Amino acid sequence: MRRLMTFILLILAGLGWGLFPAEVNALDTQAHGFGGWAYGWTNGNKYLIGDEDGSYTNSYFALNLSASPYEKLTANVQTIWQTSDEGVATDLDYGFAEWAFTEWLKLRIGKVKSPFGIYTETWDVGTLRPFYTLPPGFYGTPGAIATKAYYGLGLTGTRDLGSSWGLQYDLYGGKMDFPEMTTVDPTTMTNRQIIMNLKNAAGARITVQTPLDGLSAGVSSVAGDETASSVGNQNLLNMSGWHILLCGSLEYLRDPVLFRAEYGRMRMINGEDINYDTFYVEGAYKFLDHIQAAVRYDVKLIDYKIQMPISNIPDENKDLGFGLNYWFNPNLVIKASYHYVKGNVMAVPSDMAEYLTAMLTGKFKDSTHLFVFGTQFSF
Amino acid sequence: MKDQSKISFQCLLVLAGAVFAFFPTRVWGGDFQIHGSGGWAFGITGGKNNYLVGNEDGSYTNSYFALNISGSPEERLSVNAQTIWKTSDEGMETDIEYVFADWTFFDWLKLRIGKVKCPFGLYSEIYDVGTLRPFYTLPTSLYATPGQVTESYYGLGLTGRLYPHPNWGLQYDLYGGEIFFKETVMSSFKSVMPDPMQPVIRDSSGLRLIVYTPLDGLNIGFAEHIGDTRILNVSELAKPFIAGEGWYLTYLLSAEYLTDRFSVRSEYSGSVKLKGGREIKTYGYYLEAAVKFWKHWQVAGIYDVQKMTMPEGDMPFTIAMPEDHHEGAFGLNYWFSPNFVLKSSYHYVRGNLFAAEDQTLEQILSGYKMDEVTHLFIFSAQFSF
Repeated sequence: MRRLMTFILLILAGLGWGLFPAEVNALDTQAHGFGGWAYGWTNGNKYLIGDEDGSYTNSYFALNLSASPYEKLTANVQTIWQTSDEGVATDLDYGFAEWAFTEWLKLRIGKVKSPFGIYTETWDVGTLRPFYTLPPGFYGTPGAIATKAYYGLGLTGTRDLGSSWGLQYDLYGGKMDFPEMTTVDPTTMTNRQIIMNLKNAAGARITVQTPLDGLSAGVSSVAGDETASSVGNQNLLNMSGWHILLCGSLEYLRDPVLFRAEYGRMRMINGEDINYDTFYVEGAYKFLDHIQAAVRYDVKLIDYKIQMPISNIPDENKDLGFGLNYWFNPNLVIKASYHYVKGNVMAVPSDMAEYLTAMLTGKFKDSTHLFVFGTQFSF
Repeated sequence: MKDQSKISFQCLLVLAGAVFAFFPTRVWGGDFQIHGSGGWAFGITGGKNNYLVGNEDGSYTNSYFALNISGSPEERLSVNAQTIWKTSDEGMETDIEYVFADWTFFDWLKLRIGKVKCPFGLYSEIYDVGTLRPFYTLPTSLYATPGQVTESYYGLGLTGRLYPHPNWGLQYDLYGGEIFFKETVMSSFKSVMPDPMQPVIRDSSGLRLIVYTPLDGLNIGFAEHIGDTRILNVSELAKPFIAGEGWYLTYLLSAEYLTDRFSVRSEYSGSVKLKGGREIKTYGYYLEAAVKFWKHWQVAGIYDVQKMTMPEGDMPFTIAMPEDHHEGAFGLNYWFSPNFVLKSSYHYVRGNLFAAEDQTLEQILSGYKMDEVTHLFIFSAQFSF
């Protein structure tokens, strides 16, 4: 499949080279930035950006650069700096070249924005969503089924289908690294950072714009050879082999209303190991020009079909969040939200010893209350 | 030699101070520029050895982006900085490649101070600009780690261009400071000694001369630096095997012919121990040529050699250290534009100096024989703006 995919992409690229000559363009460079800060407090467990003592150190800034030295060429790069109670982290979110043969056929190559779901391409742009954090079931760890970028090459384009219908498609191949997650190593009973990845992956996304202004629906899928690597290259989750990720999404954006919903799942193709199912529904309404009320219900379910080293691993996360935001303008917002969380896939004790004891005994604090106060901006 | 180096430093400082006083500046309108260069590569060796961006299963996660910012707040002053973000199977790393101030007294006399681009080798000042070379990677012998060339030095230097004759030109660089090389993990000993070692040349002083000839595109050069080589961050396990410290003279000869259609580059570099430490004898050279055809296509070839001779005796026990690297490679590239290129290449490598398997301690001690030959295939893209 990988070879076929690569072959098709190369043929298409090859055809395009001959057909679409380029012209020199005056260098057009644009800089954008997305940032935010948040305070998070919970009644016990550590969850997203909050903990029992109150966490002040959550901030980030993503610098986005794009340049078009040639008419058909655009270079896109985004780097991010992030602070948390764990310290500072920096990363290259993506860096890729895009060659536009036509509006409906563009080649992207490098570390490319991942076309999977609604938020993957605007992951750090807090001013495009109603809550400070992304829906945790779909985009949070552990068990995120979406990631910011893939390494490889792909084709993308948009097509006007007439009668106010539109189509955007993506077709790509390469490797995807999912956000790093922490799990317990049963051999040493210590925390271990794990990176899940899909290698030799091939994926597609289709998004349809409907005649109802602001309404779009999409499906995405990617399949690849999954491994979970960590220090020492141990596959602690016993996940390997070919897996498929599927996503269905629906979005309605028209002031003053915002509505988004996504369903995602991951399955092993030939057999069973760990099944992930997640969905969220998010709605928001703006009133009095600057104020926005928001609500989100987010669910993540993990079904362990294989014997795990510890029997009491949590398997669900249900998060009901209410938000109230003040928009100074479309580029600056202050956000406050309250989240009631049930389950311990993501809400776990801050203290390591407590966490390990809970894993062994299965006695977690089942309910978590999270309060978030933060700001996000973009330019 | 240390005194000699200090004297050259002092001379540079005195000279710089004196000249500052003679050339007052005026406020300038200011000029700010952003450039970037990046790339991504898939590399597969198909065998047990890892080499450059490739491994046995195929490595997808090789990508980088270098952000270059320069500003000219005053007429004679230019400030240059470049940072890089790099991903690989080892994870993510970021670095300041250089950051320095450049004060222009004349075209033939500029002072550079800070973490300055290292004037040693044809590619050292354009390390990350993949659109200025025919292969995704730079020639291994001189530019891979452990290699002879690095991107920058900490210190100060003078640079300039002279045109004594309408058809002849001379570029010179004279500098002093400390040269840091990229951190090195001997690829064959990665599992035993995972912490990277840091080669550094202290109290170094260097020189480069490039002659531009009447044949348009042809230049030849000579560069050298002298300094006290140290290996930092050495683990206790590795200490008995460390060699190559002490005062060395490293020299480099280069020739380059560049036209729209042809590019030919060749460099030879070697080092001579002057005093101290157990000597590692090293030399390396390459010949790289490429030709463009049908407007967008380019074929390229390279022959690349490095030989490293380790000292004998004084070792707690004998281990087989790889000493040779011979590489022949062919590339086929498609240039969408001068700023964007797709590159594919095949590399045949003999020797395990750079192409090596990650060995266990038992394998090292038992004299385990790695595959001597490595085949590497790379498919990649590089861009710049």
